[in-house]
Amino acid sequence: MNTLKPRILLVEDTPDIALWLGTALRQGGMAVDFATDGLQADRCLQAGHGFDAVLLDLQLPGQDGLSVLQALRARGDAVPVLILTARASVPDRVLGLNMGADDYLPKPFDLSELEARLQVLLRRHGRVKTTALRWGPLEMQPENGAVQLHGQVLALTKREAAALRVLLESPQRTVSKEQLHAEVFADEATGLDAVEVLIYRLRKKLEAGALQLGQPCEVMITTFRGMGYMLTSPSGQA
Amino acid sequence: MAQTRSHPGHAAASLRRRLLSWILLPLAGLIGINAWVGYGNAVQAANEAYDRSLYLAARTLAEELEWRDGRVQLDVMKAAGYLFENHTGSRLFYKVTTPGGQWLAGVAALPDVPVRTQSAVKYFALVQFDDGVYQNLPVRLAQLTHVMEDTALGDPLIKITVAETMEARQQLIQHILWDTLGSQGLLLLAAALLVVWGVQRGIRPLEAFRQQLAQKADDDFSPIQLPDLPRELRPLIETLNSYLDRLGRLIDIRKRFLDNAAHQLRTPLTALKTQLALAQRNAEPQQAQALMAAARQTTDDAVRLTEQLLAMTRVEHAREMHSPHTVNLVALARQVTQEHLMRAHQCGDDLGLEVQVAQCEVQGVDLLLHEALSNLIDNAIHHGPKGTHITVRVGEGWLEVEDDGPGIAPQHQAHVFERFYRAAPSGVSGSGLGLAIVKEIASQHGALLEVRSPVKAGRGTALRITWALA
Repeated sequence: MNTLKPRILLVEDTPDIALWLGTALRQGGMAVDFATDGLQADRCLQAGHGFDAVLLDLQLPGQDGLSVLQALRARGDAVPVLILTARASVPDRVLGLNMGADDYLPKPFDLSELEARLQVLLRRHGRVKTTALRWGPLEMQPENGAVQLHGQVLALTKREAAALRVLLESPQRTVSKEQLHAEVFADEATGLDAVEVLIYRLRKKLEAGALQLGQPCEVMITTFRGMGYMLTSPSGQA
Repeated sequence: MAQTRSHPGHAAASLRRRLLSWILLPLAGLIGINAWVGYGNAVQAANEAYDRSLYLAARTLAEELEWRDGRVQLDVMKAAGYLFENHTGSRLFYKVTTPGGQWLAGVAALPDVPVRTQSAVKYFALVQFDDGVYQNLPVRLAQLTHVMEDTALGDPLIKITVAETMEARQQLIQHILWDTLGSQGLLLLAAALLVVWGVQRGIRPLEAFRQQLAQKADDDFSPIQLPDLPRELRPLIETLNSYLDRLGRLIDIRKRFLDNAAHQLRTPLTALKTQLALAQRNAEPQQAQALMAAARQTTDDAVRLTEQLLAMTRVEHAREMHSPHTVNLVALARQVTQEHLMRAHQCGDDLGLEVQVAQCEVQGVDLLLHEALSNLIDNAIHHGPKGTHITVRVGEGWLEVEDDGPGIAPQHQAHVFERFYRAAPSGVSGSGLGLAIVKEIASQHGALLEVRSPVKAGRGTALRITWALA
């Protein structure tokens, strides 16, 4: 077994979903184990299980997904858990999160969204330390902030890199101007305009970087009115 | 009557039982009191009659007393007739004394009647009655003060005491008792039968009503009609009939909803099956790719539709499940907008948020308001062409989603909030539920949902939920 691959436990009782989801995750470079009911999931998740994340369906035969989660957290196990369920009412969502789930995705979900959320979970929990922050052809080494575009080093200032890191760490979610200001300028006495200037420069560098390599610009920082900034791709795909 | 047992029959029986107990128990009480009073009166009358005859016996005895040979003598043979013939069943004893209590004749051991200043007996002041005991038997005593002339006694007054054993009286009293009990018992029985019969008859329309209700088919919501309906039952049945009417209409709406839902769900599934079958059959990868893309779009539509159908049913039952609390509309708008950003961006639309107030709090259920705003944004993304500008706006007590799409034609505007009503041209997929859900949520919040179209330059739609400011 390749130890670099994150190990995922997929707890899902519908064979079709388990099969295809497992296939997709494996193609995405993960090692996937299956549990088809609550009891089996509980057995798989005993001490020393070695999983990096758990995808947990709530409606399971044998033992309910929530009780599996409860038992897991009662053992003091902090492995990230992403709940997948067709029970989409919000009280269930709140209940799941209160019981120690890290995220929640109602069925039916987009595969890309599941992958993105799973990546966020793995990164946030330090399960994949070596993985670079990635957006299309853009890569950032989390430990030193070195940025590469299409494999070529992109020279950024410290502040530009800090802003880009915030955006990379928040895929598919907008980052507000205030938030960027707080993260990048900390307690400096600059106004919010400084953020706009910074983002403008970052955009220019990304465009210029792509142009230099003769590539179309595939990393964009899009402004969303009233919401903030988010990394997007021109194809519309996040 | 087999249904009576299976049905809440005990409730019907209990009304009968209650009526019966309300009528019969007081009636039995009254008859009991009546019997007791009547019995008392009869006993008193009997006692008075016996006392009178006892007095007469004493009187007769007094008349037969003679002073002979220096003492009081009784012509026993004459007296015997009075003493023994008049009182069959009872035994009589007598005693004659001076007023001072000195024995003159008769049975010396008879008890004396204590002198009372007020006579217990009405008719003769010179006679006193009392109850006493003689030879361990209860006796009734009559003491007569009599004037006897030609005696050697200094005082012409003598006292004559007559005692009568109680057998005859007791027999009579017993007789009266049984008589009273018998007659009053019969009366009670007759009254009970009449009451039972009356109540039975009175309840009959209720029973007929119950049977008609029990015999109704599950899907029969026609009004209940009873020919001879008592006036008291009429409001009850009218209320029930109007309830049946409402229920029938509600179920009708449900049925239509289900029919519509079935149709709506089958349509994309049919399309999907066709697209996939075609993709399988098509060897050309480019065509297959295009079909797959179409299938993906169809699936998205089916997902959206399913979500809306579920949301509609969820929203309908939300009232019982959630209680309102303070909701921050700014935070809510920010969250819901965030959730739709990616999709809007993917569709090439520009989705933005415009907050015109620092803070806006309303009373409501955040889950429902989330659903409502989500539907408004989704509606704008879905129905607008690529590149539509969509703005979520929060103001003082209102929430709005505006787009610069083609707008809603005036003839459609009155109907856009109806379920399954579709204003969009037939080429555009849609359930016609999105705005109906928003409408339902708004009305559950006592808020107003308005449509404004066109917004400017003949284009655009704005849908605004406004809270009545307190």
